[in-house]
Amino acid sequence: MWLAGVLFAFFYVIYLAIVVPAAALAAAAVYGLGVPVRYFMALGRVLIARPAGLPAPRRRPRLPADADPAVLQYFYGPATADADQALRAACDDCRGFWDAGASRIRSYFRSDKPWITRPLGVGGAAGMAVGTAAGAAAAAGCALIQLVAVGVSAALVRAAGAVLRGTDSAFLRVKNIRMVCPACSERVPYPGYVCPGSGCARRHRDVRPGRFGIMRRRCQCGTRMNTLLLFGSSRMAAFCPYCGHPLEHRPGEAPETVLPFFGATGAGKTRLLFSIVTQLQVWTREGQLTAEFADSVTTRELDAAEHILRSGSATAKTPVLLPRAHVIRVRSGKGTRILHMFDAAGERFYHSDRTQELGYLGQARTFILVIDPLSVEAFWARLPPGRRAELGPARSTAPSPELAYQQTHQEIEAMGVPLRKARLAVVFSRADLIGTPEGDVEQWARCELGLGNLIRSAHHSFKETCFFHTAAVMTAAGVMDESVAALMRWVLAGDGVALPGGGS
Amino acid sequence: MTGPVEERAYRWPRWFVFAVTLAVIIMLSVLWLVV
Repeated sequence: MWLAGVLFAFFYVIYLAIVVPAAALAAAAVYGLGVPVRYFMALGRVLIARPAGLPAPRRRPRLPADADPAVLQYFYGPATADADQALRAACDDCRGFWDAGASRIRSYFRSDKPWITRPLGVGGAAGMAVGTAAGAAAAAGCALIQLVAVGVSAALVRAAGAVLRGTDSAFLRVKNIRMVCPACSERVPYPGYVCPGSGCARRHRDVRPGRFGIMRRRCQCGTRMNTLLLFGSSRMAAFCPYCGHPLEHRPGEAPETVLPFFGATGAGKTRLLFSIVTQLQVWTREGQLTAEFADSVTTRELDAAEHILRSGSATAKTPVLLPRAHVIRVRSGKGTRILHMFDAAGERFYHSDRTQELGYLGQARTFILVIDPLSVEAFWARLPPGRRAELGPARSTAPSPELAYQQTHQEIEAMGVPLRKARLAVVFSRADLIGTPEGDVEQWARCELGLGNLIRSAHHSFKETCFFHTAAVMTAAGVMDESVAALMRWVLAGDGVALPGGGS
Repeated sequence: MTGPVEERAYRWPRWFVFAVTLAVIIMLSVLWLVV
């Protein structure tokens, strides 16, 4: 009997020596490999399969209420949220995996099971603990690798965005493109764009590479949009990010020139503007360049310019509202230029508070001062009475042109315009009525008009000042007075634009 | 679960992260086995 007991004990020890380590080894292997495999399965579910019922990520990236209506770039938040979601899904899976193993081990100790299974439970429990620890360490290593991959990708994406933004800015700088809003006259660092998707009118204020995309962004409607002018974003409908006004002139494609007309009421600013537009149209018809109205407002307001000049009828009085630019695209042999011509009512140049509102003065580098010679008292007094009666209706009754000049000059300076780099065209209108003076216009203005102070100040303040005497008229044959063309050639030569004629 | 537009936008970046993670883990495992 005792021999049987000894034999049983012997075999039981052998059984224990084999079963316990084997169970431990098997459980360790299953859990050591199973936990990282579970992590990978969870990662695959989160990143690839995307089934319904995934655990929600704890930290979903949030956007400010006034952010653009675009989808966040993946590496600007969603990738981290996915990593978090994968970890949570993996934890849930591993918990289920662990619970299944623990339940099986507990079953080995139940009273209805034969006592011989208990060593299996003991070995399995030990192996499960060791395997789970090793598997969790491996899964943590895999998660770390995923986070590093996300981090490195995010850093590369941000760097690429910065490089592209820099390249685009350099491209604009090299092409000397400074964009200006024709409505609010603010300098636009970059236009906003309306989503080109059909039926979508979402407005994106800043499409440049950033958190919504590097080369392209996706509107909330799903439409893709280019992020840079380099990639052709100018083909979309633009708007001013400050005032929201549509920028129909496709800003960013060509350098822009701001041309403010200033001078007293009735000096002939609007008529000069009309004659410039008409001269451009004449050159276009002759095939010497291509000039077109760059937006619908300009088309509406200037379409009749040639008819008004040709018929000799008077232009309407300019309202004392803040002016909107007349935008004209000029294509010549040397490239394209966008002209923003601002024609404000003369009343705006008598009081500093009204002149200060003309923000476009701060964006300009070439200014056009228009003076009606008839408004100069000394010149008017020297005219014979008959001539005065004849010219009276055309004469500007506004205060001295020097007042408008001094007032505007001070405001331009106060706006920070480096006058020593700016140019001024002083245009004496009504050449069609009083004839063109013999010799130098400047000398005529100094001696005949007595504008010596104004001329001295202009020469002293501006880098370059030139004097013109223009006749804003068109013959019945459609020929413009050469004085307008000469003025335009000088004005645009400052921006490197060569216009027809002038011996060039 | 994000919206359908986001799901479409993130499809390829998610594949990219999964592939890179898998590739790095396989590479490290092979290196560990060899060295």
